[in-house]
Amino acid sequence: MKELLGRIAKFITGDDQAVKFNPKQLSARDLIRMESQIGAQIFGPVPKGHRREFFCLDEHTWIWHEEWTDQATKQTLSITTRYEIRGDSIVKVQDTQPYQRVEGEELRNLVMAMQIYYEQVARGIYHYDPRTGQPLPTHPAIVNK
Amino acid sequence: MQTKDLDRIRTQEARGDDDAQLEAALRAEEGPVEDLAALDAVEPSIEELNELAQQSAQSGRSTTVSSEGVAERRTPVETVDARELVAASQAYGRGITAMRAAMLQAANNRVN
Repeated sequence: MKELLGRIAKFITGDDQAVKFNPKQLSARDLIRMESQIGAQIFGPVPKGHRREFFCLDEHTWIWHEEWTDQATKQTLSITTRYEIRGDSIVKVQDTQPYQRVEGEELRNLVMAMQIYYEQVARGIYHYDPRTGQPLPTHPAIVNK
Repeated sequence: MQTKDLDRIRTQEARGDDDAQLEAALRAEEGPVEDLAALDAVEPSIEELNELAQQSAQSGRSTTVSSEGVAERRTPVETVDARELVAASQAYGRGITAMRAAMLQAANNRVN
């Protein structure tokens, strides 16, 4: 399970942190990788030697992935958490742990992170005003007019 | 307060065992999940968990007695907040995927 989720996160976001953006060959994966670069910064600076991903996989699923090397054993360690929005609750799936409902402070922090992600991604990648939903002056459709 | 009001309160308080049911149901999901197909396969039971979660949220309501001696059940602020937060998270997910789809559509149109 742990490896599976880690592989999914790595498959989507790739191994390298640099996003190779080619509008002619744009895929959902490219966009998620770009979003994840923004998402990774929401929780503060990524510690040296760590790799972090935080992204919206689909309408109902958000992924957090953190990977680092244990200095003592030189072993690569990782934690992948999948947040699933289901009805009136958010369920957390983490490694071999049982499903857990996200509640209280954790829920507030998670949704705040989603809000920041939404606002920054809307402005930074898709060029929409997150408050109004209207295209920003930098939106390609407006720039190319 | 009348006896029937006390009975009503006791009945409502007796429903407070939903948390234990939810906990048991969550624990029943424990165990290795080999692949995504297996993850999908457990979804129906997670839906059931959501129903339990809703019931649990309802059982979290406090029972109060008004000045007229009528038992009322009120939703604590935290429960309302949680529902609003989950609704907001759904809206963010929808918004992101909609913008993503629009960008991909625009890119495809450019290529074609």
